[in-house]
Amino acid sequence: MSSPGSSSKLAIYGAIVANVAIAASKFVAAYFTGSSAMLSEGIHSLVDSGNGGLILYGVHQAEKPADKRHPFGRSKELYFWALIVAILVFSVGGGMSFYEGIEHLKHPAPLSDPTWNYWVLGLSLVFEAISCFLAFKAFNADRGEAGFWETLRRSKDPSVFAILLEDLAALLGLVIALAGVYLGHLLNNPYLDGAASIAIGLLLVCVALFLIYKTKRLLVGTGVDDETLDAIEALVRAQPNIDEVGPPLTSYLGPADVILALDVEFAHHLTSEEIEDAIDKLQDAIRAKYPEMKRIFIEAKSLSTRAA
Amino acid sequence: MANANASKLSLYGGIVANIAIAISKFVAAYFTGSSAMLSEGIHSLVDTGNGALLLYGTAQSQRPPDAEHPFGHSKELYFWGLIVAVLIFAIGGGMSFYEGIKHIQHPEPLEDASWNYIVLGLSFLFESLAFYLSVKALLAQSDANVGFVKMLRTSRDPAVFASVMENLAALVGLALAGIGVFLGHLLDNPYFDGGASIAIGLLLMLVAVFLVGRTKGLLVGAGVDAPTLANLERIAREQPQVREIRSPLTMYLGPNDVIMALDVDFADNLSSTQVATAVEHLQDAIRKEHPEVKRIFIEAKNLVPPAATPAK
Repeated sequence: MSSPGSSSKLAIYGAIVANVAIAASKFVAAYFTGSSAMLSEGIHSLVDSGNGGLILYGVHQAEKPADKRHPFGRSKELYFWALIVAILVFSVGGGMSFYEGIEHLKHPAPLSDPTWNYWVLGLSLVFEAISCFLAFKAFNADRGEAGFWETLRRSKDPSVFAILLEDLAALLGLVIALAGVYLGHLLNNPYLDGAASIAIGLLLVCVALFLIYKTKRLLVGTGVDDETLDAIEALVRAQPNIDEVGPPLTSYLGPADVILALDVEFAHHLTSEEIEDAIDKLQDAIRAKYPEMKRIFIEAKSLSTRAA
Repeated sequence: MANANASKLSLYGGIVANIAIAISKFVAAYFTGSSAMLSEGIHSLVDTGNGALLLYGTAQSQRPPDAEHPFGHSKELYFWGLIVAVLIFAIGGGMSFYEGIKHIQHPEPLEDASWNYIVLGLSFLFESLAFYLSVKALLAQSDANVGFVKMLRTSRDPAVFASVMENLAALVGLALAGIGVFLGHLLDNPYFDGGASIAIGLLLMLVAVFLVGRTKGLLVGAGVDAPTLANLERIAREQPQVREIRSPLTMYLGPNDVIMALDVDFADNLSSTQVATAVEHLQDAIRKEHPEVKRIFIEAKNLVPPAATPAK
């Protein structure tokens, strides 16, 4: 996995610009139609751009060096801000759409000329599609051979997976909104608009719950996958002068910042000087293959005597 | 740990107090038909839920490590502490603020205030009990010779510091509400009630922002304080086989779960078995004085290059 890639930053900027453009078209439409629903839709899009801004801020904060108060650095800031974004998607995105939908069902607005709606939804689709394309590019850079769901499940970088999911949900939401407006006019039914809002609200709530679940696990601390663990163990065993290796402990602090703690029993004929050198070499060997292992702690242990 | 029991007792105390308060508010709402009292009751139910979330976080954080969480689940407590802080901000602060604005826009004519006084008085009684229990838990965890504010700022246990702050804010909020009702009737001014709600809302938001800041720091990873760090260094330097150390890296995973990584340059003539033994002795010495340091990683490192070998 590369360091917070330029492709993921491009995707974040893309999402922000797309949402600002969408907000602008909604505000223009609200101005000309006087529709309060369109106005609150515009505010909604501004909140979405704010979410992109928060992720960007998280990426920036996470890059700050370690200091006295944060001896292990601040990589987890990215996970914190991603959690805040997930909570905002839940409450402002999902909650507001759901509430609006209920209001519309209770007091259905008479059908008016949908031309403005089609314009705004059409333009939004274009902007959102571009943003989604950029997010997919960043996602695919992470992906390799694995499938979509597998990569989504495994991704440790909210600046990739949160942006992609938000964009995808927005795109799907626009399609639902378009279907609501179109079918409402086709069937002359004023309730379909509100139903579409409720569906969008439920969609955003589902996406937000998934994002909360993912960022919670990352904040609490998850380890690397089994294959990587096995590979690290094999790599350590292949080094000279190593008698025994304990199971490695790992934890992601950020997408490109992993702690690794390893118990190693060194060959008995080594002196402390030689052990110190062997540890340095071992760390270099691990870092050469796994540059994201920023903090490696290797402890000299008597593992075999303990087992005996 | 004794700490955990005190903090659990305080959480149960907070939950019971808030349920009692919610019931008195619902009873008053039933007899007066006041919608404000009803939403106050719902608010107290949410407070009850916050206590339950902290209790849940405490239980979750004690689960042992597994394959996916090799360092354990201690930080779950900080996660749930953050969720509680967000809920206090949105539901506690936001709802009171919104209610206050609504009351000022459409002030209700003043009615008999006896129900209000009974509910506020009972709530104050219950809340004081909860506050007392939470402060006891805080005192049990902290150094006796430290100021109260410092205790709050340095506590690493959201089950304790969030409870103290929440209960304190609730007490001040009840006093504000009482003043609002009293002055409103004294001056025959229907705006005081709404003004008190706004003040309570702002107070709760302020407390929530403080709690978000604290839990954020702990989630991202906060180290031990300077005196503890100095003491850890002293213990390491006192070991006979230790020539030099680097300042240790520490991070709180939970209130009683700290990880520590230390680079040590051991005496040059040791064998690998002696190095392993020295590492274990050092770990035992640290754990004896600081039992909260659960995971210690000691790495043998060349810190003082001997004259013979060139510096790295």
